[in-house]
Amino acid sequence: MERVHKVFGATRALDGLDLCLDRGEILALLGPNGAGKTTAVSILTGLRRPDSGRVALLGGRPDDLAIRRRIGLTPQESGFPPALRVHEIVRLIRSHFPEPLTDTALFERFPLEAIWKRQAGGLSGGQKRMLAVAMAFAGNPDLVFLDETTTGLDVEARRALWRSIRVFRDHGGTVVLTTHYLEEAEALASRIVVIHRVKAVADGSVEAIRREVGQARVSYRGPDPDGLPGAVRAERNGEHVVVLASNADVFVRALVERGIPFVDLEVRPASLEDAFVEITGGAEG
Amino acid sequence: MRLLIEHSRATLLQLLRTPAYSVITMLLPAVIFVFIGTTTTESRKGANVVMASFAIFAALGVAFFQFGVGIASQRESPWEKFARVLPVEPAIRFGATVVAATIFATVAVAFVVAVALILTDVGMIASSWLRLFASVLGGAIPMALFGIAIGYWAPSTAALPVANIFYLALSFGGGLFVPPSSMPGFLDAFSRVLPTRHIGELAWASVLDLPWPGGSWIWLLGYTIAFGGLAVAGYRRDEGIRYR
Repeated sequence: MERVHKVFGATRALDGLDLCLDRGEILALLGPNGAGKTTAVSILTGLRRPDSGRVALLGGRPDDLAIRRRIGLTPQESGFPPALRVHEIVRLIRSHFPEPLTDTALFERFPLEAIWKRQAGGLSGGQKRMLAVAMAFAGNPDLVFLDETTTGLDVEARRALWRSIRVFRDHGGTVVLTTHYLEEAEALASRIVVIHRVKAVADGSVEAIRREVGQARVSYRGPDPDGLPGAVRAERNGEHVVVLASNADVFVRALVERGIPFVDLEVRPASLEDAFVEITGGAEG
Repeated sequence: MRLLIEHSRATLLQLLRTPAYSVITMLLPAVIFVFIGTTTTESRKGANVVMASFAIFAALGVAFFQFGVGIASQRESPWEKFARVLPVEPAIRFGATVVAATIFATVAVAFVVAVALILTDVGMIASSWLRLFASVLGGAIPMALFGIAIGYWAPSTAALPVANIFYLALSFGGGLFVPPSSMPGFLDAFSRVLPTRHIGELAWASVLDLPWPGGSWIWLLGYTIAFGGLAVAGYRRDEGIRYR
């Protein structure tokens, strides 16, 4: 999508968002609530139209049926007709796609067998999420959108989903996922776009995003590192000081040279979470 | 075609397994008919007329509840949002609703007819039966459009009471419970502008083997255009809010 703007009443939901998607990649849209992730996905999937800008998907418009037959996405939680059984819902979804997954292929990726004959209304929250995710893949699409999909899944189910996503990608599938689990973006994404205050504020690989704010996270107990070279940002947490450093070597050397009385020094690569906090100015997802 | 069948199937299964909807729309008109429709008349003509009224009442229930209440609760549901991005034309999903409604209405009317055949002295020539069903079907179209209009204009929490009020008021005012001949003058005059009265006039003429009053078809055509416009406007408004 190019220069996409979207306004809801007095609220600007997207302000000139550019987003480019390559075949076979797993793109994570990351950002705090209300940043515009879901709006971006709604526009990409043809649910909403942009006020201005251009959107092309798989070489066509997202509201074109032929294009939509190649896209899978998840219904939002608890959105299933409660009286329909799981196999009936799966059957309905699959009937829209030219070459959907067979039961066997579906069961290989998702543990649906145990709930196959149950009514959707009686499923637990986790089971509904799992069914919702399976629906995105059931049509055997080329491109899958997962909007906050793993929210509410337990750790085991989340890992299982990550495996399915990787299998899908290994078979040439493309995935766009929005999440506020940084761990998830870090584990899965080949590229990350951070959306903050209705704009894309960072775009790149996990590595690149991390580099943007600092290579390393240095922590120790002791006084504040005021004005030391190599530090991007420092934060105090009780006795502990956490420093994001663009150059950890320079910073640690300065720490020693100035004779700052530190103990328990620890240096590790910056995580995506550190980068995220830095980019969005501390706004938590 | 395959998608129409699949969507109709899913809609029917969902509704059938929701007794609050399926039992009430399919059985309630027949039950009410048993209590107040089977005892009021001795003559065959009278029995035919009362059955015709309750057949309309049965079809109206589907129009109000499936289209009215159904759309109001659906349009805010996450499933509806999901279904919109499935690769299927909106017309097919609407078509599935019409198919399901037609089946429900047919069953509801069939129960009324069955009760009439068992408990009353109902009986008429084949052409009267055909004309009765044509009248009910023809009348169901504007009323379904009215139901759709309620579904799109009423907030989802208000749709059920609103639909109920219109359902009962229009049934009563149209002379389906009390024949227009025994209404006080002012009520009869008011009744003459209601769509239900004109469906009634057509259905009663059918069962009495009298010619259809042509004016009633024109009234229904007018209502179809008016309610159709209201339904389309409501649909567009909802689209504008939700999917702009």
